[in-house]
Amino acid sequence: MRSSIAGIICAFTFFCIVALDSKINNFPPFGRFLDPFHGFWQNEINDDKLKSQIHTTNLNNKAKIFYDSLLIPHIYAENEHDLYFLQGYITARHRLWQMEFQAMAASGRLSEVFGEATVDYDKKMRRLGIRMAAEKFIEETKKDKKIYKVIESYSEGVNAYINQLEFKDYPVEYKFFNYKPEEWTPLKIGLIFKFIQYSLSGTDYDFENTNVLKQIGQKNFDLLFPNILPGQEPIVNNDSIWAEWDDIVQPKKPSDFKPLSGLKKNVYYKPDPDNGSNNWAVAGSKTKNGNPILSNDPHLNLSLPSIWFSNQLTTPLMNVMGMSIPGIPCVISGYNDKIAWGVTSARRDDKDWYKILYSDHDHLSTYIVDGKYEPFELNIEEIKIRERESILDTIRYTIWGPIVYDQSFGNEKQRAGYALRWSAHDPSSELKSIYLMNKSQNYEQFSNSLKFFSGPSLNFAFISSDNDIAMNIQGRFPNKWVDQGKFVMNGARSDMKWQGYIPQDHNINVLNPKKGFVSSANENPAGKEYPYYTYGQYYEYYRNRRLHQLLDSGQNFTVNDMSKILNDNYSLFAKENLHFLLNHLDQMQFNPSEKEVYDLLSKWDYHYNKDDVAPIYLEEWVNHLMADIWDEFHNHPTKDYRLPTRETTFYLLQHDSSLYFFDALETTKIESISDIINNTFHSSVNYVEEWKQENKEENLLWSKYKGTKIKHMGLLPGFHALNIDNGGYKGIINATKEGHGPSFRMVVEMTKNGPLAYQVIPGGQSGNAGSPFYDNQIEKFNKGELFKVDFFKKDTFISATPPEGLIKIEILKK
Amino acid sequence: MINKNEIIYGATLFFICALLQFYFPWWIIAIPCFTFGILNEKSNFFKTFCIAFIALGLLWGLYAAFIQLYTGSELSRRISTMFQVPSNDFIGLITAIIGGLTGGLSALCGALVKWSLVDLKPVKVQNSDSDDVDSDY
Repeated sequence: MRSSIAGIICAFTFFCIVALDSKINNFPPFGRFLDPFHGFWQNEINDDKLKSQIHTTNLNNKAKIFYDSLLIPHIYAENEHDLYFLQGYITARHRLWQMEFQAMAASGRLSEVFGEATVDYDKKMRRLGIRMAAEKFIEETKKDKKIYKVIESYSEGVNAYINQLEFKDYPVEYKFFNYKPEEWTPLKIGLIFKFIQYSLSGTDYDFENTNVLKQIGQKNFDLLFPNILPGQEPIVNNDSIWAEWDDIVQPKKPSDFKPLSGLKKNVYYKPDPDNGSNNWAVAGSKTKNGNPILSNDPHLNLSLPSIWFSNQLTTPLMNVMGMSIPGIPCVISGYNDKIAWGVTSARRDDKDWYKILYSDHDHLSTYIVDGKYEPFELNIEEIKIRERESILDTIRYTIWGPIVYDQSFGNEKQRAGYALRWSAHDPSSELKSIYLMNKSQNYEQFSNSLKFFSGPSLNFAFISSDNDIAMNIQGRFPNKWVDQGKFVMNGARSDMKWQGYIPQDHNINVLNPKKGFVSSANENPAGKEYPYYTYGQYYEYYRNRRLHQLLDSGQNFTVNDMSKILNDNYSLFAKENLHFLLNHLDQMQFNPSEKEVYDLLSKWDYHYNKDDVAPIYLEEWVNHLMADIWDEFHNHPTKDYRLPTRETTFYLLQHDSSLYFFDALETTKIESISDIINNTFHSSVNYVEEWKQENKEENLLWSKYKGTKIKHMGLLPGFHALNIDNGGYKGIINATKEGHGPSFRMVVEMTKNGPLAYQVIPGGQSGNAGSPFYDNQIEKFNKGELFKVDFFKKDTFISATPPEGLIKIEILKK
Repeated sequence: MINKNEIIYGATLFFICALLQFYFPWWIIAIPCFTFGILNEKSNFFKTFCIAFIALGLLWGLYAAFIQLYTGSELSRRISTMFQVPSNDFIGLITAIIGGLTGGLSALCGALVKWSLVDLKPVKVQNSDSDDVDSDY
């Protein structure tokens, strides 16, 4: 009797301890997590006080690290091995979890940590061939010993950091999700690079386009989805050199080309189509100090830990500073003592889909190309799932690329397979490009370094102390016939393939244009005069033209002016369309609140400032209007359609008001544009009234209504930054949307004496949620201000007296 | 009434556990507490449980509180949002309770094991075979 009581209680206690040591559902292992000696409490005292010292025997020579007041590490090493070793070590010190998490996400291994919830995501990443692409990337990089050494040193540094960790030092996310950091490998660098490439070229509408085309025909399709809208201002307008090229090969469209039917529904989650950026460079002739100035802000999903990690990398032969991506060596967007550069996404379509004709639907062993049987190359992927049995997924590789959608992914009932041709799958060595870019001293070196950059295709804005400004649209662009790759292509015909690439010399670039500035904001790269086809998924129409307005009209620019432009909340869309809408309203039908809204909108200055109210009404009105006009396509139960963009919709409304699409389908009455505009005005005002009822304690202000959030990458509640008090929206230079926007802002003035740099990130340098540097820059980000950052000269590192204002100096011996 | 000995036991547990925790994972605290349960002469279960509960609760709670004071407790504020409790003090409290319960239960187990061992010996001697047969049929 006694022994059974004792036994039961002992068993119960043992069970409790085991339970407290295990992760159950969404809860962390409580005992392990809350233990003040090893659990999350230890993360509170790490990091921000920077007690830890770098202990390593891997350095070839001595090195020095200055941490400035923003926790930006300025690394000085005597040789490149030590430099990239330390970059890896220090990045891991602040961002280890994020680096590993992104590498895991890219290789489709999240289910090992998150269980069944992420299986579909993992399957998708594997089927997209991201791992294969990363492997090729590393293979190609291996061919250049010097560059591969950079990758190796960086990985060595990350591993040196990981190897000296004890459980109590793990980033808190490992403790919460109860897993361990694993060894860092060069492949992970490739994976993260391809992950970034995916986020920039991942949005394609081939399936949605195809569905629309089948529904409404080519003529209507071209009307609703024009390649370039009248009034558009491309990055480069009619460069005279284009006419001089005499060796242009324009591929011919096969005469009997016919797009095939696409996947109907279940096109899986895609990156945000607004992933993009602004960058511009102003020549000395247009600035107050006579120095060129560069500005850049890449728009991505806002997340914590911040996407970017700022650092300075210095050796006796090189000195570069700027934004790096944790997990990738070198500086992606930044400046050295002679040049500065910044990037935006070029948004060219480099991702096409081919419908596969199986020779036999039961076994899926071969497929047909030009009437001949071709075998699949099979790749069996094991997806390990936490606390469940692994699942196997067979990926079939074709001559086009991997089959992403087939019976076992996307839609069980479908008989077809859809293979992906994506330029990210081709071998390339972007890291070489970035490495050389970091060292470039003038435009010639810079543009030479770009030649190795295949993708993601980017617009590089450039300034130098020689007072050069330039814009290079860089990528390895497939040379396509008109409409190639806009729709799903026939994978049973080999003549559907890409006919080579646009030669590097024929990529678009401008150097020192007369107007005194270059700018890009993801708009069309060139006008009709450019002899190659430049279809992109979605080209910007407003931000770029607003930039042109501001840069064209201004003179004597200062850094402060640039910072103001980065935070410009003016909506060109509102300017061009609001009064068109208001003029259609029948004022006799207004109730008092609608009258108020009408008055508010008529007097509005088109700014999406955080304290404005008018943008709320306009946005809702336009949302209702778009939903009403495109109800044919909106949320169709069995098909995914592409929706025409706002700019096209409003262009058509203003210029071609008789279009039958404008008629709402549910009603029997034929509706005119005025009817729709009036109806949606009433419904949108009601909608906002309802919001007011539901959120009584909130003021009706744009920033509150928009509710920008910066979420933690692992979606841990409490680790987000909510209620970001910022204006702006999509189509506005300050492109801060609900969970998406400028992931850093940077302005660099290039003086004869080196760069003067200003930057801010919506977050901070540290990835530790317990550190004040986790989100300390958000406040300034919201206000639209920038931090002045120090770019130290080599001599400063060597001299005995360190600069002032540092929070930590680490001196490392050999 | 609190006995002087009990304070000494508690304090000893507190320090031994603190020392061990620097070298071993969190569950190591179960071992000294269990041992204490066995060694504790007066087998008052409630008291044994309480001594270990208070000692470990204090150890975890005080260390957590110390960290909070020392750092400005940014992280525990975030964790309190995560666990949907009103403030970061609750996280310290939960920490103390989890530590206390682990210690208390382990000590209780020790005491129970000793109690059952004491019990079993005479039972084996007294009970003859016939008793077993009776109860079985």
